Amino acid sequence: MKNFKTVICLSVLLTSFVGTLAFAESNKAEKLEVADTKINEQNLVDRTSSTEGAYKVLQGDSIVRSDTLNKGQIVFDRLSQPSIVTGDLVIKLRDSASSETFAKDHGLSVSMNTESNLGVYTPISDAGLVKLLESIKKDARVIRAKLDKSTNKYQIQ
Amino acid sequence: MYKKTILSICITTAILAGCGSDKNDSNKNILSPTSSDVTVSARQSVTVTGTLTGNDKDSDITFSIVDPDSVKLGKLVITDAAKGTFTYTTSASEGVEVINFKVSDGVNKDSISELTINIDGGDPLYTQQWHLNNTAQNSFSLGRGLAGNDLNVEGAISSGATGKGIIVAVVDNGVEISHEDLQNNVIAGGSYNLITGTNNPTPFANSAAHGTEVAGIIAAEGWNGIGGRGVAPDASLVGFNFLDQDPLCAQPTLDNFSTCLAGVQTFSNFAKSHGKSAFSDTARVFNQSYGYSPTLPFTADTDEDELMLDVVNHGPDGNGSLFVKAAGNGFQYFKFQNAYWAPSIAVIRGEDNNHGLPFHNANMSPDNTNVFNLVVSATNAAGQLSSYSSIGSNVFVAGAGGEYGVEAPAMVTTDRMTCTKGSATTNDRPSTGFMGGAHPLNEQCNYSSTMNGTSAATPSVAGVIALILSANPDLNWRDVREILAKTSTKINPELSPIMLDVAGKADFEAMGAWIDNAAGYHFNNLYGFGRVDATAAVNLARAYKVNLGVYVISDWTQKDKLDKAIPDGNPSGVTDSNTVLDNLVIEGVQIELNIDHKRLPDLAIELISPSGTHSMVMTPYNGFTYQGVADQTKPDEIVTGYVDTPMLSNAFYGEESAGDWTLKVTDVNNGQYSFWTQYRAGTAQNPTANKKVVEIPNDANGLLKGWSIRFHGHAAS
Repeated sequence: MKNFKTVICLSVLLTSFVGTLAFAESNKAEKLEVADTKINEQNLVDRTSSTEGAYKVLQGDSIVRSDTLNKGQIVFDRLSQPSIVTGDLVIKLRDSASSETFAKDHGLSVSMNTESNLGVYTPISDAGLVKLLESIKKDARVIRAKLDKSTNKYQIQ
Repeated sequence: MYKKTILSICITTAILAGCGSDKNDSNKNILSPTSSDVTVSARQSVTVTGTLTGNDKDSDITFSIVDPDSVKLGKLVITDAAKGTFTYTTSASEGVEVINFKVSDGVNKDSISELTINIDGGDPLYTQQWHLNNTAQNSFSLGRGLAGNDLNVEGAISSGATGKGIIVAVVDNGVEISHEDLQNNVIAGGSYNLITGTNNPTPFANSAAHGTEVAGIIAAEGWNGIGGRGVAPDASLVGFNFLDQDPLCAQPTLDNFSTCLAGVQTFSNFAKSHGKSAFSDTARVFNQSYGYSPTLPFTADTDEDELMLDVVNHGPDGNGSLFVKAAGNGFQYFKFQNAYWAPSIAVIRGEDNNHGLPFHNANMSPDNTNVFNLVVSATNAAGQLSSYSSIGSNVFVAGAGGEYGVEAPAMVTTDRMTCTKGSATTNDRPSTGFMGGAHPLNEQCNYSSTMNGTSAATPSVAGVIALILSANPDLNWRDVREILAKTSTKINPELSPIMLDVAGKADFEAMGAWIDNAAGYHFNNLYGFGRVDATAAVNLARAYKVNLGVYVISDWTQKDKLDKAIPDGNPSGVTDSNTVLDNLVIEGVQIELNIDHKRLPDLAIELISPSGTHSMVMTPYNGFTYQGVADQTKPDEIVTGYVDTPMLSNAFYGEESAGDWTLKVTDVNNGQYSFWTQYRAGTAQNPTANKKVVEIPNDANGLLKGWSIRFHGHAAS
């Protein structure tokens, strides 16, 4: 099963961008019409196996596994839904921690922080987001941390 | 001769004196009453009070209308016939009423004068906005509603609660802030475009009208002679295009894909548009007519939930803000991953109703399971649940969402300006006569009559909340929830429970009728505490004396390593109790579930309070159907069941938390189960077909592994 190939339709990746389904996108509760559909035939090739690398990312016309992530990179979730790594980090600190000090210690700038010490931080340099994240998670001041990503999760209702 | 006359007067006076009148005690009533003309100004749907002018120097007088049929444009009521006070209400946007009234003393000749009422500055589409005043109008559709099924706004408006001073944030696909019926309510420079960084959140795509339609339902300007009216016609608006798309994505390719998707829905932008930027931190109400409907369980987004907690507690002036959220439009079917999912093709054809149960239960969406989102279902102009509306125990109230606007009324609201943008565009064969650019009330296509969805119901509630807050700005988010829970209308009071046949007995209650919980609140999974009643809510807001005390979120009370079998197709199910020691007055109950099961739509999940209140937090035959299409070669895709899956119930509002809480999990189906999907082609499992009926086999028992419960509320006394 090495290099097991699964063909994933581009239309899935471009969720909500392309009107490949016969029923039109609507700005209201959609009335579904039962009709044949035409799926975009342009495909990507999934070259990932279940063991290589922590992240599924887009590389050329293929989806591959990778242990590194960079700003602007396309990464796929467990259901092969794409998102873009924005380069920012979402970090929840303990109440006693200073966001400014924490940011300085890790080479970050504070973009936003709440009263409960949940903040958005931007790395001063672009290098190595995964390593940076791992380093941040080991800091005792951190309750949780993740990379911020751009998704299309929410849809109008 | 004179002596006789005097005698006669004396006799008459003596008789009248026996009636007890003070004035008659003076032995008078010789003189006739007098009156004079009165002129008042009136505004559409706003009740005017006034006093007719009349006098009688020697007798009591009575005011009355000479000919009640002469009142043509509104309703005139003499509220005190002795004093001549009256009220007048009209739905007309303009016109003049001239009404003769008379002043009588019962003896002498009546005096007749004119009451002139000048009506001006109305909204021409108001009479078609059933959600504001349902007169059984058709709202440009083929059908009519049922009079009275509305948000009862008129009393609130007439009392002076119009939303003034309250800022509502429309977090949507953008808002056309220059719209003729919105611009005066939009805060200049107060909105934010999350793509360009400018202050103009107008959507890029000409077709994108959703946020503009939503904004109109909230706060289209009132009494300006154009368009319709918002629920809160004097509220202020700011817009955020959190759901917009970068125009560079019109033709997405592999080359620009990164740029296209690097759009708007990041946590950073969520924060900017939901109270954590200088543009959104003044909003008291956030309208979120968006959501997602997954076909497999997800966990909650801790960061989004925590940010919202911060905003509800620390919003403007320390009173906090409210997040109003659409339940979803998936009662019959829904969309997930660019595919449609339905319980069966027969549901789409109208031949089946999925046992009367929702395919998308609103608790399937994790963003609907935090207490900070006030989840809204939709009702139509006939006073029923809208055909599409998602429902669940996490619904707090119902708003007005309508149907599709063709066969039955949808919502009449603002649309993108001109006939080349938005929902109403030049069309010889429009969906309704109002939408194609030829209707005399919509020649410029600036308005729509087909907006619907819980997307529409949500701003109707956001508007009512703006009215409440304008009547009493000192209320906090929990006060507003309390007011809504106490004042919302119990519609369809005779609603029947949904009974299922399980193992040959048709006595399993899969969804209950209205209940009265132990604290006296009525609740139902379709409508929450009911359809919002703006006038009742505003009245209570003004008189509000309740102190809910310090807001408390309890710790999770956990039960794990249970490994209790859930018998397949057995109404007895499995139960487990969780003893809660903290005693709070409940404002919301959250649970998290860990259950292994190979066919999640089989499961009914019920929570029972120490007081004996039952709440079906997840109805069976729901759309958690991903197990049927998951690629079994990909471990990531396999769905084992519920894993830390959150759900919320509002049914226990006001009850006390201490005691034994019982979870009951029942597998209602040991037979076949299939669903319909228009699914993606090209998976290993499904290489060519994109539309299919999918069976999910299961004859095994499930396993209740564990569950947790926590409470939102305040300390019980």
